[in-house]
Amino acid sequence: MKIIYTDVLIIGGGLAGLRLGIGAKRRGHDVIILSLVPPKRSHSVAAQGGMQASLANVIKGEGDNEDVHFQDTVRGSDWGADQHVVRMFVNTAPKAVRELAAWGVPWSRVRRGDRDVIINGQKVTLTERNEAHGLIAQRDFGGTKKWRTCYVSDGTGHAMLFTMSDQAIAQEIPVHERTEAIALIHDSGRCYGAVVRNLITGELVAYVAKATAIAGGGAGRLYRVTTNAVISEGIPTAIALETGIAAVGNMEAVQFHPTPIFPAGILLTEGARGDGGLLRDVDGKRFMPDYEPEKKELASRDVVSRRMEEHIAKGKGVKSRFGEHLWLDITLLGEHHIKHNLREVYEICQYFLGIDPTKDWVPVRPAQHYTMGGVRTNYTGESPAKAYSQPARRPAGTCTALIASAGIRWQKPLSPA
Amino acid sequence: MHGFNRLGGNSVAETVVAGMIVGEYIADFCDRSENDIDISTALIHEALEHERAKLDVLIEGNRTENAAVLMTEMKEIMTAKVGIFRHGKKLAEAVDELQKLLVRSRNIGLRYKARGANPELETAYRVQKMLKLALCVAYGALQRTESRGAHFREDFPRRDDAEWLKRTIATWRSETDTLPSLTYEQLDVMKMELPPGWRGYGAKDYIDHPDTPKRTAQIEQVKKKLNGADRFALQQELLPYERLLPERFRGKNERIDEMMEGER
Amino acid sequence: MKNENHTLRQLKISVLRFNPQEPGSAPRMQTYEIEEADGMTLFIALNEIREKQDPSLHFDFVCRAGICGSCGMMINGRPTLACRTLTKDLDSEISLAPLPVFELIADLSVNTGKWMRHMSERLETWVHLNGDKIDLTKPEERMEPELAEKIYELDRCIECGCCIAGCGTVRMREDFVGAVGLNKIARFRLDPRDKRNDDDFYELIGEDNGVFGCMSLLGCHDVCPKKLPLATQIAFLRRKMAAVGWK
Repeated sequence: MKIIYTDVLIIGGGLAGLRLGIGAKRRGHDVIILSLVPPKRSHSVAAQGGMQASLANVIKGEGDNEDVHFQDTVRGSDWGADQHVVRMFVNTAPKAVRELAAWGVPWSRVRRGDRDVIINGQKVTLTERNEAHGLIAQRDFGGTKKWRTCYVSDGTGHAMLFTMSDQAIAQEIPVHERTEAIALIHDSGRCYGAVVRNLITGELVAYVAKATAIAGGGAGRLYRVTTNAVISEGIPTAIALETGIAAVGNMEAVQFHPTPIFPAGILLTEGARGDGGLLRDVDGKRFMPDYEPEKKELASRDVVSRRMEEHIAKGKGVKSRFGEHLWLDITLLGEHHIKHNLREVYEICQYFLGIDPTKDWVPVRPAQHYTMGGVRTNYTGESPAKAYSQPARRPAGTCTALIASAGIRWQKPLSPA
Repeated sequence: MHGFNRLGGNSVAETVVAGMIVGEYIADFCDRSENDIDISTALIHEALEHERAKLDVLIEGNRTENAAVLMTEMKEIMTAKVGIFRHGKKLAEAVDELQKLLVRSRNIGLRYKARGANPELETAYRVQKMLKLALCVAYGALQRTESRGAHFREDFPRRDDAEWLKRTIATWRSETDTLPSLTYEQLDVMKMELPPGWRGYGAKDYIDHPDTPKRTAQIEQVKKKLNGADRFALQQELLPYERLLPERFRGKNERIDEMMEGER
Repeated sequence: MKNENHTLRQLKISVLRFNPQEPGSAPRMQTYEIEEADGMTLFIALNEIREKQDPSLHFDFVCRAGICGSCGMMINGRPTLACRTLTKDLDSEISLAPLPVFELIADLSVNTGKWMRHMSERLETWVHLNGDKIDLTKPEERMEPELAEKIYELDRCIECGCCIAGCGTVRMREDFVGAVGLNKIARFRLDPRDKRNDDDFYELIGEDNGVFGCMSLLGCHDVCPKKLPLATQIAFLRRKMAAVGWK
């Protein structure tokens, strides 16, 4: 029987798992990360648009701060969010961006002076402040009052994941690639690690750890059409569920993204709309302002997705061999902007659709994108044991939290009370 | 944290922030010697053998269901019946059909029987787990008779804070179950810094929680009382949270328009 | 003949198969027939073959969107990403083989992760902060917008391994760092946050298994799916490192 011992076992090698590992290692604990694939191939790599943090460097972000970010997030959640956790998040997000900046992420930067952008279909000239020159830039995104999304050209996920992975390598954190945790090891309400299958040799190994963390991402592949990678099957969440002790929360909250390409489901970033792209129907009409006069294409994703489906149901979809779809029009952004700031979009259209988005409209239709649900934890990330077998020790603090599935659930071994 | 809908850009932020925060707490936990591992090798052996036996059944059991077929059927049900627009009738069908698939998944046999690298074996044990998650989604959606964020019910199009300002918590009590067990955790409006209201987009029509006007009034009082105080003082009064953060991540964030005193 | 008329053809996909773990397995070509569909990529084709015809076929796809670098393979003799290769751009007879140089797992699946991790450790592909403490409450250090863009241009590498598969030197010496390694050094060299200097980089790549091993055949540049400027970067790095060597 093969057993591997460590202090912290992390199931999942994407942004969350890697950062957790770096944190624990820095504090002197041994860490092992399990990943289905090389960490740099994790689904985190697909995040195109950017990461929100209230740095307020750009002129359209002036006046932004944690309070505004907090409000936007709570509203966006339709009040399903735990507001204590949201506060923790919005306060830490700027620190996260700045930490990554120090570690090497080449965030796009503000250039002082005038520049032209497209807002609501119109060309607008923005003037960036002198004192902002060289600081991290932000762009517009759906559901936000201020421009808050920090980005790296059009490959934010890639840049972040590679920097994070490289820093984990610098910390000498071992990643056991092509391994899969197929069950958690637990006894009397305490998690001791996992039974892990080596996907190359088929060997089963027991990994035993003081603390086990679940950072395995979402479960888009429950659906036929999803923007998610093939590996986004939710297995780490499922093995937590299978303990009979840990719980999952709000699993019915599934987000659909408005603009994956049709029919493949490959994501086209929200940044395409953030930068001024428009949605059009079979008549070429820009229909979103009729449904959402204030936010139009930049209402939150669930709202835009629903409006698009509603519009198709009214008979305004474009008919094709594979079904109906609508159009994303980014031609108005101009060739330079598209090839520069939306290059991944350009490439996806080129390779998977054989079209040129500087000239043509792109077929899109909403598809599954994000799993808001995940393992139930408290604000520290711990999964409390159920009270049915013996009284579980209360987690410190009085508030409880639910961290969404792209983050981390941490199976804390709880000693019996 | 994202509740019933996630804003673009927040997911990537959340992965890193969660890693930062939980990294510290997990380190705190490991620092404490009472958390050292104390587990018998017999227990570990039992866990390994339990999983080995399950894989043996898949490989050698000569059973009849095809893992890839079950996977495809699950995805079709989810896409058709647990999608953007949900309805009680379709959700009930989905729950029923997924349960049947779950039962069938207990009878999977492989065509490719290699014990080493084996994509079909992977599909087999994964579909068994994914069906449980699918049931959590479909069953949770069926029970939630309101619309909130990304969860939209054609038969219950309004947000209903009076009945549904709560979290769905699902557990899977026994391996022989075909449905998750659901309980609900109430959200406490009186602790909210921002009581429920209109998002600013989407539907404006919802049923208020009885505590919402109370808390809203309370917040107005606090604002009046603290008239002139800076935003931090107000925030602290409404929802103190800083002690929940690991010490190294506390502290105000400077920005162009908000430098710390004496820093200009 | 390429599918100019977009009629749907019967495709013959031949795969170089071998599973070193399976006793009795020997390398052989196995041909699968599949009916082409509109918009079919090799991702779609291979998955269909595995699901409907041969569950023992091994290959790696993750993002299926040309971003993650998992699906590098030899397609009609040329290393490229399979997920974004449309069958309509190929002849009806297609030949697939795993990337050479990397450790074979089985069939079309190779262990690029292991190779890349080793390369990262060897070349220390991370920003060396030299113990500088970061105060996270303070604004970030500034950077010129153009420099950020330049760094990103080189950071775009997805470690797919196509450059290695297309490299002449690495076939002759296993320890050659390859274009992927040299590009990484170029990237970190450009980055002011990395406190290493040219002497430090010389230690890492200033020999025949480093930048001086490159024979300038530039197969790497030809096959890079991200169209990284490998030719110019390698040449530039060679000049800089040669200058260090002469000191």
